[in-house]
Amino acid sequence: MRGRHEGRQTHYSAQPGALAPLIDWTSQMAGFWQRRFDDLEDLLKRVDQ
Amino acid sequence: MNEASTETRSVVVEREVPFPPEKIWRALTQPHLIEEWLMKNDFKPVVDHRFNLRADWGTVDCQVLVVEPNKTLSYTWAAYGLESVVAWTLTATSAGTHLRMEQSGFRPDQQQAYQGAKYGWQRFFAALEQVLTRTD
Repeated sequence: MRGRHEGRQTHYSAQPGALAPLIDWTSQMAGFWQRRFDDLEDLLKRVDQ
Repeated sequence: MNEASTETRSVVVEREVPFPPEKIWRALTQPHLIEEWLMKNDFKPVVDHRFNLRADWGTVDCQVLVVEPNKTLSYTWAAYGLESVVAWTLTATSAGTHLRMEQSGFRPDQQQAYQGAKYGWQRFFAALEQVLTRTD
């Protein structure tokens, strides 16, 4: 992705192939953390009892 | 210089949790509890403390950056060429706690590390899920 500033606006244009792996990487991490949140909630429920 | 090279992306996960911040704080900062939902570790809630999150397949290197009991916790998270920061924010609500996790520092120039270690990362995620399932 490239950013171009115009006043207070920044315009983005995707550079094919440049951004996709980054999204792939961050979306995998997001999925990882969602599951960790699930396990954290399970733990909190367990220790409540 | 290409300004895009300094851009970073973050992963943010937020959730309303029906428990008070104090209770969630314990789960985020006590090693035997962290192990139950994340990984084995030698965490201490002390600024500058270095610790590892570890499993059979490898480790994540971390260092504590911010400790504000029941409110904010952050530490560095380095693994497989990813240099990032994980920040937890706890906000009390009428129903419990708004829990927010932001992992920041995904830079395009680290993509090379990701691309180079892409299969390492896939194994990392796959192994991580297996380890966690096994311990359930």
